[in-house]
Amino acid sequence: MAYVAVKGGTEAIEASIQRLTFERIRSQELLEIKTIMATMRGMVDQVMSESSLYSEFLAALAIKQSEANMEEAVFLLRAHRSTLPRLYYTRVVETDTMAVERRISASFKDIPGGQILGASYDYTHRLMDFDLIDESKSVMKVWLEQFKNDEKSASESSDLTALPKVVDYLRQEKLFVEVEDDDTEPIDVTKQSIQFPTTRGERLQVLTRGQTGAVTSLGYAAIRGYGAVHPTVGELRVGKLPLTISYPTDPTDDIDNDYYIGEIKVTEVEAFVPISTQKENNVEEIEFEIGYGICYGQNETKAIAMSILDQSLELGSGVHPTQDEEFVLLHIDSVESSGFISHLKLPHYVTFQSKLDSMRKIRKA
Amino acid sequence: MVIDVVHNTQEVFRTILHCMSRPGTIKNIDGIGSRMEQLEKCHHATFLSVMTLLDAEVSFHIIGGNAAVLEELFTAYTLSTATDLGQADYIFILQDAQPQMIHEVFRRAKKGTLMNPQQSATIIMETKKLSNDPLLTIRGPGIETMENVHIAESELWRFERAEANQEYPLGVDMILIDCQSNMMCLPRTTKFQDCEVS
Repeated sequence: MAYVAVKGGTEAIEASIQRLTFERIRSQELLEIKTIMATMRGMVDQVMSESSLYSEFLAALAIKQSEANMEEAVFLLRAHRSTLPRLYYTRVVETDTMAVERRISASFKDIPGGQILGASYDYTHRLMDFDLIDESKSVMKVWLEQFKNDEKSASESSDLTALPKVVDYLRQEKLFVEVEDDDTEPIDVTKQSIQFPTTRGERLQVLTRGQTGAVTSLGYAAIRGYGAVHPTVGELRVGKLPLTISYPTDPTDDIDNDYYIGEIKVTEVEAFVPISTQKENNVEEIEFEIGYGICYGQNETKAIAMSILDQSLELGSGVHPTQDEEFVLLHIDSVESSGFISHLKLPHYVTFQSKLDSMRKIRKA
Repeated sequence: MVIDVVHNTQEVFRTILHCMSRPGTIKNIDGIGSRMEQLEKCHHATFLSVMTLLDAEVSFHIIGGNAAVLEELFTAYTLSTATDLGQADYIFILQDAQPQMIHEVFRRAKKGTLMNPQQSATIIMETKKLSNDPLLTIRGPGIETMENVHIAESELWRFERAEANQEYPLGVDMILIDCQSNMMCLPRTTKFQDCEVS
């Protein structure tokens, strides 16, 4: 592909950037970073997840700067991420240590530890709440006070930081095969561009930083017929994971010397996918496999769709597009897809001229 | 803060990039940050390069008198790990390094593979004096015709460097630093005029 090297238009470009700032502030309304952090949970979570950088503050700043334009916010945060030094790797986290805020199963009504609904839009009527137009701080305070008082009377029966996994319970019943831990060092897709065929670790990394809409759409396609997965959500949990790092210069790598560096909120999904297999005597048998989804923040649709795509790619027969890792993994990235589409706005004067030329020649002939 | 880890290191990085793309160009980085007192055995510019180039993702090796002390210090500041000469991403050759050790560096340093020539070592070498006096001439990409350089005691390693770089694209890149914090780069594509003859 040939592009013309374009030089010029500097003043016009500068004026365009001025114009952009003008559009952002022309109404003289200020959106505070703390307001974004406090009230735009869903968007902040999505930006952090698609950027692979867990910082609510920086995500909020990116949202403000990009006027809540998702692809731009993700682009900004990814660009910033690439300038940061890499200093530590956290210890591997087991999600059964999660401080659970929400935990449901669509496979079993009674799960050990119980279903915890937490905060979700799932149970709301999708009706516009016109009261929010005139929401006042004093009313908020009264509501919060009331809520706090009510909460005290509720009894806490189970330890929310040590809820057993549903899948472990099924493993005990021998309904799932025990899988051995695979402790090979994963390939980091942010350091090494992916090469096909990929490892599962690479797939999970690309899926978790995929654009929410794209992951959801392809996950849906996999269920609708452009794939062969119909999962049941075995367990969906939203909560905070504690992160620790080993003492950087300690050669013994003693776990007791670890530093606690904070917590991150994640959504984790384990979906059970029935797979029918042909046994030796031509008898069909059904086995369950697990699709896994995890992403920063609370983004349940993305995590479930990710678990579907994980399973779909794991099968990887290539019959359906959602089983084709190149099709899925190379197209769901926000920066890559929006970047390529945007590049079409760059001058293509020469390529287009040459097409026109050949068209004219053909017409003349 | 003696060194601003964001802005100073960015400035140093841009300088290294500039010198790498224009071999033979000498830039001074003495004014960036201020000198660390416990680092009397290593040039200020060397330490700036350390802060710019090292983090936990890369490894380094030091050749020179008090390597052990500096290793500990570099690790403490950057969380980078000291490793064997043959595996290091960055190799620091300090002013007081023995000539035979310098030869060893060029022999054993990583030179990349044909598939991944970028997986090679970068050698950061302290030298007494760098200038553009017409003593040696260099040629190669990034130099219009040729450039005059004077690198003190370069006869100690010029031949070894040429040997290390003979199978292009394999090879090692060099950053040279003198006591006045002057910096010059010699990427693997740069050739000394008289080395070609010998």
